[in-house]
Amino acid sequence: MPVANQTTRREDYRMLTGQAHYVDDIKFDDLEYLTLLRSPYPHAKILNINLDAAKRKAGVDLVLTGEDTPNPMPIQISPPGMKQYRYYPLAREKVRYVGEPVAALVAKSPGLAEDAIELIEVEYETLPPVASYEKALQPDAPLVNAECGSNLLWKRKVTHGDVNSAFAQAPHKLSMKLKICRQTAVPIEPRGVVAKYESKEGRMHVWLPSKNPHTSRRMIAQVLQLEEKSVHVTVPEIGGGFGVKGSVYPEDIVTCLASLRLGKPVKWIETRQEDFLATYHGRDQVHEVEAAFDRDGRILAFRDKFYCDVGAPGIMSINPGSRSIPLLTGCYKVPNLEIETKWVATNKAPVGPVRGNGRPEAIFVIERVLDAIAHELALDPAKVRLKNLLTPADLPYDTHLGSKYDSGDFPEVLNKVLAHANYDQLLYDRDAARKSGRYIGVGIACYIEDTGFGSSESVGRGGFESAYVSVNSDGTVNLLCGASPHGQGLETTLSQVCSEELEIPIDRINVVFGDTDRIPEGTGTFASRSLVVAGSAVKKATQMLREKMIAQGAKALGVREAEVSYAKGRVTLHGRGDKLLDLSQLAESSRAEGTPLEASCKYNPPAYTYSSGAHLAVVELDHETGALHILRYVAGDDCGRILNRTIVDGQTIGGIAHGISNALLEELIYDENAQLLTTSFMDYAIPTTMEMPRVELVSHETPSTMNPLGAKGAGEGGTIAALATIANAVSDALAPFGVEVTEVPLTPQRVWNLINKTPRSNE
Amino acid sequence: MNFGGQFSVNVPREKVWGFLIDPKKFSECIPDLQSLEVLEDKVRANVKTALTAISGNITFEFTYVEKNAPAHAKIEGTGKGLKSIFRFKGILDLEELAPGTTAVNWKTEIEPVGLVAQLGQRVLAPAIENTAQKIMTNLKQKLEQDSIRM
Repeated sequence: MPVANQTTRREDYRMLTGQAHYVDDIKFDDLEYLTLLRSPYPHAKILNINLDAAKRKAGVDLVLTGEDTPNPMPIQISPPGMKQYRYYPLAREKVRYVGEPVAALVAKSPGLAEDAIELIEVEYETLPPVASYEKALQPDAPLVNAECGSNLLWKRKVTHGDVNSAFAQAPHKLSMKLKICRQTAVPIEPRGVVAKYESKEGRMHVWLPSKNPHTSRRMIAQVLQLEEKSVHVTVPEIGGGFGVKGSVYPEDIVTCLASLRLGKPVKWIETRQEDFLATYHGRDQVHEVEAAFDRDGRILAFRDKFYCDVGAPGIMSINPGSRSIPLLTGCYKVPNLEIETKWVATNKAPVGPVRGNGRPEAIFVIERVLDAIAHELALDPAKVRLKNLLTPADLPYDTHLGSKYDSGDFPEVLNKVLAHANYDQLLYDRDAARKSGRYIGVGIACYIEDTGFGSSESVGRGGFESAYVSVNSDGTVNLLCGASPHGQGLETTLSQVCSEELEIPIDRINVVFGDTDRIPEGTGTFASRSLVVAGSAVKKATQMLREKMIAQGAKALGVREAEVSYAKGRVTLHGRGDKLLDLSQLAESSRAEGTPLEASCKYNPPAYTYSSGAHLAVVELDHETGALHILRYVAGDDCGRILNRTIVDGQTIGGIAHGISNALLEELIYDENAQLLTTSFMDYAIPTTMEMPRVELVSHETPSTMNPLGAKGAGEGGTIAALATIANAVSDALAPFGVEVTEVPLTPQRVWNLINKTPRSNE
Repeated sequence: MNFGGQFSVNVPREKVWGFLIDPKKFSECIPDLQSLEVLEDKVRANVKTALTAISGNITFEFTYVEKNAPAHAKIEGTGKGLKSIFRFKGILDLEELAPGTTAVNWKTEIEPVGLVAQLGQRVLAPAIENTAQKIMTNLKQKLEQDSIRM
């Protein structure tokens, strides 16, 4: 039974009618409230903490400092050769960034906790901070983590081919310095956690908006030295994640510890200012790139030396830069390459995954280079791309950077987008507009994205996903999955997969996520992996269930399996339509034999599968103010087989909004003393509908060969593509001024500065 | 953040000096002062303030780290409040322009950290400079009034 490609999202009704329950909706009669004292200094020794006044205040039940949290946070990504450092839930001996938790206080009301926390007196000895990777790498720079002996946490160099010869012999070369500023995710719902330690059963129950609850369970158990089975993580509804609601933060550990000490439930809810200060930041990379190319614009060699400002080292600091490397050559054939990466600690907040996680940066870099090549040779950027794009005949293609592209048709998608946009006419209109004093720019970017995080062997721990399906006595089906969605519409799409296999309506399928007691194993929802990996697990588990039902039906009917078939929720005897068993009867007969009708699958994908696409934007620039207006946006995406068009389109458009915001608005600004100056929406801009253009979607489906669904991820492609697309369009609009975009976001001030640093050529 | 300025008063330098190093007299120049304590080795002043959208009290503590009568004084201290810390230094140099006329040169350096720095730094400099100017205007008036009374 084919499932409607535009099935309405099942989860929307409860969210739109206010019935969804988020972490702050969790209440207990004896609930206590935790608040944190955070460091106002970016770098300082803690000389003394006086808790006397806070402890004396009526209603205060517990105060914790670093002395109470001697076990460091587990460092989730720690490749061989990376400097080892310690990162504590509450700072011990010194603080390393503004906003680092120093003490925690638990009281009977949130207001009381807020008032009492100010009674804690911390005596600091300030240390000189480092607020940039350049300063951090100087020989005499203050050390963010003294135990590392250097602020250079890790460096990696990847080479392929003969780069030096290629550069020496190339007829054309260029170099650029490209910067992607620090940004964060700002989900509508900030972070939060409720912990309830049940001393009688010796179990810690945690309600945590985590994208990977099983990893959260393991890490909480590890830091608090509990048995993993004694930690139970439940994921409530999540009000947006966009990468930052990762496994475990210091605040989660401290809240669990507080509940353990008090034997009472404890809640911590993040404020928006804390979200800016202490939730993962992302991006913050500087790339020094060189390209060698022939007179037709074909890339002969590519060199990139890039720096990742990771802030104070946290649990995922290496991750974003690591995710950039494999995609630095984009969708293009690059025969010779050399990539050198340095991860540098500074006195800023720790970085971690933010939607796209290193990939928007990589695509921004290679796509700016493609435009620069076109500009250098006075060629059409689209034609230069078509000369360099990998073709289906080149696939599978090993980039030699850690990616092996599996499938796609990159030239075809670009050509579809160019045709849809009427590209030649756009260029004609742009040139005509310029003659009349309007500054129009047309920008293109091709992108590729590694999706479907796995296999377990290649990514280390947890590349798999789990699914459990069972039939209830009323004929409904329970579907339990280790993935844990936070807005992706997974309840709908996984129901669709199950529904398609069992040929039953999706409203007969109950989906359960995010409960580590009910779902023993799982990896989580991130890196555009859920439908690819979890969907495949569901498909395989459901296929197994279907086979079990055929076997059970044959047994119950007293015939051989070959004599029955399964269709539309019934096992039927061949040629006897009246002789049948429905799901309810099958479940009952199986249960009567003492074997519930159920099946499970732990699906481990063979490797990543690659989504790709081409986007095009038309922008207009106000040369007097630097303001930008997006006139058109065309998105061509190939995310494999599409199960639900509505959800994919929603993900794509939402991702584009995020990418446009990254390109034009969002910037976390630290001053030279490493004080964060952008801790509210007054200073950190995010888009409204007014900033969003209507997105024209162009579809292309190249089913993946890496999973049984043929699916590829769709959650991040829009963000990855839009950053580069808008940057290229703005750079094209700036062409009459003889300047190029080398840094994002392109705020009006930054654009105005670009215009006014260079004499205008056409006025 | 650094601020500074200069003004002259028709008051002898010794009298200006006497006013400036007397915390009780000088504190009369501070707008919205709530309380003042002169301790053995430092001065503590609690001031009501509003910086951008944030309002409340800040407690300043400072000591005279240099006193070269009647020409030069330097104070250093810390203010705490509004979930913020303000480290500051102030320098006053007195120059006799003519008998009975004194030039007052002042400089101050303030480094805020915490909530105020994070939420309001873009408007913080003008707000602090405005307060500093008010203090100096009050100081000039007080000195001249005292001089007339004398």
